[in-house]
Amino acid sequence: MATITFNPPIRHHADPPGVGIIETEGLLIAEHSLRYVIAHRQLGALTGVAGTGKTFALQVLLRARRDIRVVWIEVQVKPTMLSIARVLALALLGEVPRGSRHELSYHLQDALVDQSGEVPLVVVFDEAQRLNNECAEYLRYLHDPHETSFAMLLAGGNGCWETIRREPMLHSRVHEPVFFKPLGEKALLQMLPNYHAMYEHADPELLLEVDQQRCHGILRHWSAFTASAAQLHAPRGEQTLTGAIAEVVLRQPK
Amino acid sequence: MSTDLAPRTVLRAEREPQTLAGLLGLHDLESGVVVCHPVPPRAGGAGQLALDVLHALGKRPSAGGWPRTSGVAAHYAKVWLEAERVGDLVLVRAGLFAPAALAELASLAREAGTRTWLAFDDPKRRRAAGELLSAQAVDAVQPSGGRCGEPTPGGARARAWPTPSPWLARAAGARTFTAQEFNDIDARMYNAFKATSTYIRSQRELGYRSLQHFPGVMAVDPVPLRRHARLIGVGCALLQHGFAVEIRERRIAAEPVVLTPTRAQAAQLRRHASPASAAFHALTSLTDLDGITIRSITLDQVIETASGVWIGGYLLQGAAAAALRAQRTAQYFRGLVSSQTLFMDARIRDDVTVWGRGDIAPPITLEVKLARLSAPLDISFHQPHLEADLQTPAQETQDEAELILRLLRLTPSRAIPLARLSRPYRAAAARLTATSATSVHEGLIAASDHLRFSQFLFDPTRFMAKHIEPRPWHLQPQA
Repeated sequence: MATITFNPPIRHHADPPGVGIIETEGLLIAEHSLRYVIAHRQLGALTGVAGTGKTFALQVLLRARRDIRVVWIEVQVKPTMLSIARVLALALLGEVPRGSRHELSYHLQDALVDQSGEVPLVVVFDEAQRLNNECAEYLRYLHDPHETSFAMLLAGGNGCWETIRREPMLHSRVHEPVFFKPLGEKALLQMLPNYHAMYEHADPELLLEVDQQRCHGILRHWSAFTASAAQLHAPRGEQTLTGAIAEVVLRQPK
Repeated sequence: MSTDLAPRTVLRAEREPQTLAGLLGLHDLESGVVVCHPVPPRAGGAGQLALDVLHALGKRPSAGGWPRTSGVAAHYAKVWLEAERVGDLVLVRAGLFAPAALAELASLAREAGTRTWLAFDDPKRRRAAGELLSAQAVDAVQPSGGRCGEPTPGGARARAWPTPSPWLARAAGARTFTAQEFNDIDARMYNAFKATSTYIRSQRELGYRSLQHFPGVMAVDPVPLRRHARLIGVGCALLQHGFAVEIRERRIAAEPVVLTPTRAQAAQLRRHASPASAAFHALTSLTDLDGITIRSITLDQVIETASGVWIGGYLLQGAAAAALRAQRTAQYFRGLVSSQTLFMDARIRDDVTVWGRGDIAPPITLEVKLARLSAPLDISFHQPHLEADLQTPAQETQDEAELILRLLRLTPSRAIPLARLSRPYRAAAARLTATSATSVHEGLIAASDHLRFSQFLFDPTRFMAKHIEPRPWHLQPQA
């Protein structure tokens, strides 16, 4: 089995220059939860409103770690058990063995069970809200055998937790789901100065105004806003977000 | 075999992981309990439960011989459940499957002598399936595990039938036994004859070791008369290849070599879904038997005992015993009879992993003495070199064998003038004539029909028509 370190570049939405990683409550809880889930080869879930940093948190927490092996799978739209099996086989085995879905599943179970002695395997299913009943049952089938020695993480935005809850066989297995929520005003004002230098000395009233009109506590929106504002800052040589720049950005269509 | 094979249904609320883990933890193939964790079917579908059972039994698609049709999968599942002596088959997530699929599984298991437990977590589905299957609703899965082995005779000693001479044993058998009994015995005799002939042709040298072991394996039979018949077949083949032979049973009962696969070896053997492949690998990798010997073993030489399967001087246990049982059952399913060979498939590969072969040879059950004669019956026969360590039979035996070969080379209508024979052969001629192996008329000696019949050179039907009062006669061997 190939051992490639999971090492995606840390990219914020819209990739604004000069931004840092802010330790949101979600990120901290996710770190704690992941530690347990990986150590005990459990099933974990990270869910919440789109743009609140689930995928980002997972990538930050799992990247460049040599003590685990990460297989990252983005669930496609309208997945089937076969499509899940094929993608997983390709990621795990480096090829898709010939044969029916059943034969493929037996190969997969063997590959997943036979992990002892190696570094823990962590299989991430991103966009897990796309899973249907059959696929949820299939993931459970892969993870259930008592010898199974891999951790499975489900991450997804709007509807993900509803999908998991709808499948009792998955729901009952999830260890301490982590819910990512939009940042409240207090948390926002604490976090933003660490996120980008333009917010360090910015007027808190202005930041709350921007949040109310455009970002709604969602980090992905703040990332997009920061990228646009940074573009306007650069030619003017300004360091701090001003009302004028904020107004220009807010006037732009989303 | 379990006394009550009616399927059971149980409501386990498997959505709790610890519940399912508890069920999966019951899996213990060595104790006869198999827990099947099936691949989920499409919504309301039938799935492939037979394949799931094979996977639960340790079979793997990558090992070769994986069934390509659902019919073959069901057949293999039944064969392996029976061969592995599985007493209880537990299906988790049974509620995912259509009741008809569950009924098929329960029927398959029942035919294999296995009790089925169907674990549901939906009361409605449980009730529906229970009604269709006439299943018992129980509170918990309580597998009892293994089934009773079939006690069998141990090492049978050969028992001869009345015959004036060892050279006439086959002909004498035709008189002694009913047609069915004779067919039964003759099939074993012929099998040993053919197998020994193939073996001799394949050998460059015949020495003490090969001559103790091959006939010993060929003669294995739980029925004493059949064992004697097999030994006669071995002797006939050696004579026709130009060897005078004396075979005697050892007086000391030989204990078989017990072979129990390790855990890793068992897992490796169990990967094979094809019974033929599994059984061949078990024999070639665990025992000292070579490919020719293995391909000569007949179905009735796979002997079931309470502690394993006895074959060729070895007592195989665990997964190896199951592989042999499965192959035997599969061959019977194909319509073969007990006198036919265990392996009919020439495609089985010989290049298998060898686990300690040569370390432990089976016990010696026979004493074989051998001497080369002037020529074989058919000069095209390959004659292997004889090693120096062999004991030779008595001179009288050699003289008789030489004379028999000389006479058998002639057409039935021809004879040799007695005057041409040297003194020792004249004495042999007198002995053979006294036992009706040869006939002397007007100073000429010829092979009798009795002798030709005993050496597989004579059509038994013609022989019987001339020498025995008419009675129903079938040459096809009977099971």
